[in-house]
Amino acid sequence: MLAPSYQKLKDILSKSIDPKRILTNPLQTLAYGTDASFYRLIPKIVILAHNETEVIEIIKQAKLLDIALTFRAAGTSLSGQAITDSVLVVATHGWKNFELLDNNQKIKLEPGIVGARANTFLAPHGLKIGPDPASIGAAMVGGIVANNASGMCCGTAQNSYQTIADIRIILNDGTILDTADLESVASFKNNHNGLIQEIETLRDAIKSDEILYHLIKNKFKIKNTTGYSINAFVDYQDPIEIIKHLMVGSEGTLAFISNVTFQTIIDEKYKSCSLLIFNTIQDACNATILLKSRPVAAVELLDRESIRSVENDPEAPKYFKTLPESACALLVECRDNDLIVLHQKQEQIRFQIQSIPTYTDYEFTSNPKQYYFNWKARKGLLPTVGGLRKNGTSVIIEDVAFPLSQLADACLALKNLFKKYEYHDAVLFGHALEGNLHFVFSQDFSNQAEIDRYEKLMSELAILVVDRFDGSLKAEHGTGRNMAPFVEKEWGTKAYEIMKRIKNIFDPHNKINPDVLINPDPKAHLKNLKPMPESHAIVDKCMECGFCEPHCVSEGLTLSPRQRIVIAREISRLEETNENPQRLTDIRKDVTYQLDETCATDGLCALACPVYIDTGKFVKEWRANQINASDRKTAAYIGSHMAGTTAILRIGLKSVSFFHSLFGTKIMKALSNGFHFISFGKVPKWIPEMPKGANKINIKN
Amino acid sequence: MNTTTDLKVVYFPSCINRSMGKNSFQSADDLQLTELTHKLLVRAGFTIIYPKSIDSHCCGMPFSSKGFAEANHTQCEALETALLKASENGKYPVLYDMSPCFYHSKEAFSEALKIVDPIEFMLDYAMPNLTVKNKKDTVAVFPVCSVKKIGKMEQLLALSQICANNVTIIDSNCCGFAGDRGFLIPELNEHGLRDLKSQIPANCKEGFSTSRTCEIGLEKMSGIDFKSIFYLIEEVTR
Repeated sequence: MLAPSYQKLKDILSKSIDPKRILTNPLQTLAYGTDASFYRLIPKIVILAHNETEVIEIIKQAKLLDIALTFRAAGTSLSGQAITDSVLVVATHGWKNFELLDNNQKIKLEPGIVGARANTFLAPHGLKIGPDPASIGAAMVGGIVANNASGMCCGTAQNSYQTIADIRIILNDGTILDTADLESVASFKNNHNGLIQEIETLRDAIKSDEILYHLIKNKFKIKNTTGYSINAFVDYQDPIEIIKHLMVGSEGTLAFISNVTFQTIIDEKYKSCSLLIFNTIQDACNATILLKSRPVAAVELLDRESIRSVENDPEAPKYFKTLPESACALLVECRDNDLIVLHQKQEQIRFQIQSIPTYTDYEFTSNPKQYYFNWKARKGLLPTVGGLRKNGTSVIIEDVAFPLSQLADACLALKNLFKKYEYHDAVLFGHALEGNLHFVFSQDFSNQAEIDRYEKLMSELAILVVDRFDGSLKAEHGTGRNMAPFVEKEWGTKAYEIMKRIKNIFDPHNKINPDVLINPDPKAHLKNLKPMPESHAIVDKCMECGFCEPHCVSEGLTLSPRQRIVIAREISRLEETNENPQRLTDIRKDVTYQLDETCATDGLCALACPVYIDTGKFVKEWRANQINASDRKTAAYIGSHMAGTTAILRIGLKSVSFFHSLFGTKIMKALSNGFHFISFGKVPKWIPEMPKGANKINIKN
Repeated sequence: MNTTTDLKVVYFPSCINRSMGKNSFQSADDLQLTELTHKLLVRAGFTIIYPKSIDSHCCGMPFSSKGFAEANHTQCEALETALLKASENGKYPVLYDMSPCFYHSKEAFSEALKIVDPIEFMLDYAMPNLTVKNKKDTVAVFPVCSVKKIGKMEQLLALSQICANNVTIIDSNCCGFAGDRGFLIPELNEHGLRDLKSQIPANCKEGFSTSRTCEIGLEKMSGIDFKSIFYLIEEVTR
């Protein structure tokens, strides 16, 4: 039962949006309500919006009924910024248009385009988009911009904030601002004069406060996604430019992003990399500092635990197994469009760090096999932890950044902190060049003692990062619900007040993605934790990252692999706890079509899965569980009488094509529903493309 | 690759190709796939060995897909035994005429057998003994899921480019036909191939692939003639 106001919203929107895309049943709201974070809220309504007109209508009607909205694209973010218990508006299907502009110097993208897909549009021109999150194969433009996502190579120079050329947004009153359209800008300035004035007032206040001004400048020298991008006030004078850049990293809390135009980036043709092993983390960090001024494309740090995760790989050098515990690796990448320059760069790098001893000699390689292995070592870290974790636990990826000069001390301090709280499976790696470190570890949220341990870790992490090293608590992954209680801690009261004012300017009633980024609850990061019940051995390691979704044929029709697993887990949980038999019944009612029948079991999901889960295999097992003994007998009979079966099929198909030529397509379609043979008692629907029967094979040569 | 004068191959025609004949674009004098494959192998100089009681064999995949694990296992074992016998314990390669069946057997069989998927066989075993006489102008080619899973996309492109000047590789997830699912749940196939038509060039009238059931859905959703890539190879080497 929907609450009256939600029912009303559903009824009104059903007049202009296909009711099939307004979801309120328990199975679909849970499936679509799940993102890659370790938080869980279940939306009352999920709306699959296909265009701007629909979004404007949703915003206007929700506003009249005082209902909160959360906008989302792929749902690959990690900090809990894309979940809600109110109304979730999904902008994926229907948001796939793009346009190359200004001789390919710019690309206009709608929010439902996967990042990697945008790069395939640009690849023929030797170009790419700036942001390069590890999730680029699944993350979509809407989320990439809303989270100011970055990755291994883009640093702070080529992220969304730096490469955004224009944006088109829908504000909380349904107004559109398109910064690429002079008329739109002029009319916006006219109709929203108050908003413009408030932005200008904030700008002037920041620029006249020297301490605040420098704090902001300094904090954005390294990666930072804690709070809003208030560097917009420092970097820009024009209020439209400020608004444009405030939208980057706003995590869907200010407006709906309808399209974005990026400046494109040169994607260098030639690439080489080398895995340098140092005796200590300090040596590796000192080398990184020296490399900062050199033309490197990426410098990735891998601690001893990270190296251990690949030492059994057939490609791994033997000495990996005997490295000292203090060892630390740097993966250094060079890129250029000119092979000669590439080699010069490699030599410059070698010269730059010659004063620092390495454990072994190193060579740069462009050989696909070695190049791939080096990156596999770096990219295999998440699956290593994710795949080895105890069932029922979540994977946590901490994401902090430090001024480069402090990186070595910070690494050691972090390692000690994890030791102190007994996070023994933690691996440390990251984008060293940007001072950005990730810690991946597993966390049980199923009992209070474990939640308390996590709380202590987080409190102490905040002190370590902010007070001791002056770093960022969230470098890449966004504030979400996970870091919202710590924004003030990191930024100080003055800057935090400015952030609250920003929220108030764009969303005075707190109805656009409330509780994300700005959240007064000091324990918000410990609430609404996602249960991770055991369900089936094939899928228990799933991290719900969503990397599988772009590779699934039924995604968008029914469920994606991630969503199938979410539903299977919920059924297991409800069976185990027996807490809500009605909910279990309701979910079971839809599960056969949604989870089982529409899965093609093609296994392509496994190719994209960081922990190699083939959800198709799981669905086959699911089917096996649904089969009763008489069906099994039929299958065994058909199997043992294969010759007869194919003969029936041959003759059956021949008679169909005979009838087809007799009756024609139209009548055949009508007849087909009563016309069947294979499929183990199920009835294939006849279609005009149904093949004719084959002739028996003549095996005489 | 094959310099011996005694070229032998075990040909295992899949149960689908043994039962499903030609499509609606093909005329009365066109050969069905099993006959065409035979003809093509002979043209490439192969002596063909058919496994005994061929009509009773299947890789097991239709059973596996539906959750009949035991029936699948029984089929798998029986086929492996028959192929070992036919190939004299792995002495001769075994040609599969459908990628999904090859993939399914590859996962289940021991190493003793040398089973070969349709793409690899044509590219490495057959083409060296054939001459392309009349290259086609424009074709569309669909890499089925098993081709992606065994990493043969580039070989498929190479093979297609030997036979045609302009090759459009269809960019798609699984086509959604998924064996017989396309008959039972046509909306999955319709959803999976919703972008198919827009990818096919206007002057392209023929598409090729390596799985008969996928081809039914591809034909339905594209409106053009979709069949096994063996037809393409046979035609250009005639």
